[in-house]
Amino acid sequence: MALTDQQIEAFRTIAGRIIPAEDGALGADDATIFADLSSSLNDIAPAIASIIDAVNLEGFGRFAQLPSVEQDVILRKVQGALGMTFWAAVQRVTLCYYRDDRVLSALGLRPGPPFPRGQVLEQGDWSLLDPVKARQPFWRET
Amino acid sequence: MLETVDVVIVGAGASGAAVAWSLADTRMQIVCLDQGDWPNPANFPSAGRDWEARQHTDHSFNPSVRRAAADYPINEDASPIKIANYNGIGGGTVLYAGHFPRFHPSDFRVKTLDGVADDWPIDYATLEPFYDRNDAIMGVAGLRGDPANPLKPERMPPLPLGKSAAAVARGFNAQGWHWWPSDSAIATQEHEGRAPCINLGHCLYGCAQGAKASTDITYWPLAVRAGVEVRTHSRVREVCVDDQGMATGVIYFDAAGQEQFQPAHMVIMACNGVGTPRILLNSRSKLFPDGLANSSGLVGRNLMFHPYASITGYFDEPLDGGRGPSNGLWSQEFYETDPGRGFVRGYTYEFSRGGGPASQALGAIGSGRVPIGSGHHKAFRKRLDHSTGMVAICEDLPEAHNTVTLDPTLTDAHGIPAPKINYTISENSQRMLDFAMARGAEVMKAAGAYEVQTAAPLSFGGWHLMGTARMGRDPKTSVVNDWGRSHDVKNLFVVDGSLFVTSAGVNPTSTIQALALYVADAIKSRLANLFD
Ligand SMILES: Cc1cc2nc3c(=O)[nH]c(=O)nc-3n(C[C@H](O)[C@H](O)[C@H](O)COP(=O)(O)OP(=O)(O)OC[C@H]3O[C@@H](n4cnc5c(N)ncnc54)[C@H](O)[C@@H]3O)c2cc1C
Ligand code: SF4
Repeated sequence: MALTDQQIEAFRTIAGRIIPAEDGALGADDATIFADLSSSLNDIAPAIASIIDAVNLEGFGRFAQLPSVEQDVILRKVQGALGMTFWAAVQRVTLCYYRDDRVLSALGLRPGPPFPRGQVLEQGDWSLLDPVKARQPFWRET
Repeated sequence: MLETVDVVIVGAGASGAAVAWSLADTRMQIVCLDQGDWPNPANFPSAGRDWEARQHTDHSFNPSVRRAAADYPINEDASPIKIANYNGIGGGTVLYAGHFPRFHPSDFRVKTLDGVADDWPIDYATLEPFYDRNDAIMGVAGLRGDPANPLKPERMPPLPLGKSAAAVARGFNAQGWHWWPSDSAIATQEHEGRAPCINLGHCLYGCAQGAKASTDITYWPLAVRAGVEVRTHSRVREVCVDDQGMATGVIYFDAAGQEQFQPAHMVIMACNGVGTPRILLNSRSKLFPDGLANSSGLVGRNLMFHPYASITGYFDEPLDGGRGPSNGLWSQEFYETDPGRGFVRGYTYEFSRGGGPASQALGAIGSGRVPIGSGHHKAFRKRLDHSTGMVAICEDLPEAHNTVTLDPTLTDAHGIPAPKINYTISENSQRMLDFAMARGAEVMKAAGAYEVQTAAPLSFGGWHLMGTARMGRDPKTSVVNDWGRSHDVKNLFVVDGSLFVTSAGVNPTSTIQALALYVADAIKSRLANLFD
């Protein structure tokens, strides 16, 4: 099932409330993030369509025009009613949002995949092991 | 018809690889059939920007989510714990975390010591040389001298603690409880041509670096060089027998979907604790109407998983996030039985560093700690890279009503009946999970966590598949003998996790592989009269 242009536009508003542009951060409705997101929705299209229908019902077809506080209330209601169906959308939005280079850089994280550059992990304080090293063997002999 | 081979091994995972490598030096003609393909590290998620998303789609460890061509459906509606696996060369080791603990000597004497389940027909001393050999081939990092375990051979330097494991270690120290750098099948320095770990933090989805010891890059290259043939995209339907009750070979579907019969003098099952009973139960004949090797009625019974609890602490100090392997340390403070705790047997805590940014966000949203909508960013910035945790891996005791059977209607793409899982968590396990969460929360608090989240059982954690073709000396109470040969069919062997009599409170793979090497050795030392 493929979503119509109208459904994709409606979901853009919803995605922009799941992770909103707020507190200096981008929202999931940002053009680049949403382009990435909308290209990966087909396998969960039925879930997205049900969410849009539920949001339209709760918002009397005017969800996009409502103040953000009211939009949040509606989304929470739909979340409660649709459970895992709603979670599928939250999951997809979150996974696409937190791979955007600008989002990651703003959080102080290195953008891009972990491989092949790898990541740095400090050794940590090995002196913490000293008290355990002093302990006698305690496995059960048979 | 295909040419008769000496040995056909079904399954190219942890145990199939080990048994193939060991038998290769006999110069017998050996073919290993696996329903999957060779993994291609260039396609592993950590090499692409969508690395976290692919954990939830085509690289999920849950085959019902992944739905790759090599996967088979599993009816797990009647189990609170869902199967995790990988079907392809390397089997589960392609996606495993690489925790590489051994059983304790007491794990082989459960009945004698604690009056529950059964003793194994072999002991720790019997397996010890095979554990050592397996460690050398897989490549294990760790530290000798763990007071909770018998002494083991020298290993590669342990994985770094990082900030997160150091925090958890502080918690254990404050409680006066045991912890130790965990044995991990992850190279921390170059090992047999494999590069060391570069902290991708992606072990559970395939190690693109080749630092984690999956058998496609450890045993298999050695076995193939020694002459073993690996046949991919070959899904076995059943083991065939002659009128004397000896196995004659296996029927499988080849890459083109054509049915083939591979004749063999010996059949070795290595399809794991779900795949092996599935094929044996599907191998019905006049002589074996209830499935092959099943005169005891125990094929598919006594399924054990290891119920898991998770304990996550939220800290003010910045931690590692997902930068680094999940593994780092374990604690076996509560491993051996203490009746005062309200349950028999015990468990291991295993450190679990954390996930990438999207995984952390999803975890925090799912648990209600970070909202969607207004306030999302403020709440998430506070949580990001400020949590870490551990899991408790609890010994699961064998219970006959926990089963793998054949689903009456569900089949795979080749029409082979799918396995059906029936499993319940026992009262003993539930008490152990509750205890582990309570003590785990104390560790996190002592480590400085301002908030602790616990959960059990982990519904997605059915990654240890054991007990469904158990070994033993009595044909009435076991499926195979004390060296892995079927009591009923004298040229049929089992080498995978199905063999386990009990599950111990540790991850099983090093024991599965040690058993496979032990069975191979038993075969080699009896070649002249193997089928008597
Ligand atoms: C996400 C995850 C994390 C894990 N972490 C750890 C860990 O840290 N430490 C640990 O000890 N263990 C861990 N495990 C478990 C570990 O992977 C298994 O214990 C181990 O791989 C089991 O070995 P096996 O030989 O019994 O079977 P497997 O390795 O599962 O191999 C079975 C093989 O048989 C093949 N097969 C099955 N049916 C058929 C058929 N009909 N025809 C042809 N081929 C077939 C499959 O394709 C597969 O390749 C983990 C597993 C997963 C999935
Ligand atoms: S953390 Fe190390 S072992 Fe794990 S995937 Fe990365 S390089 Fe491989």
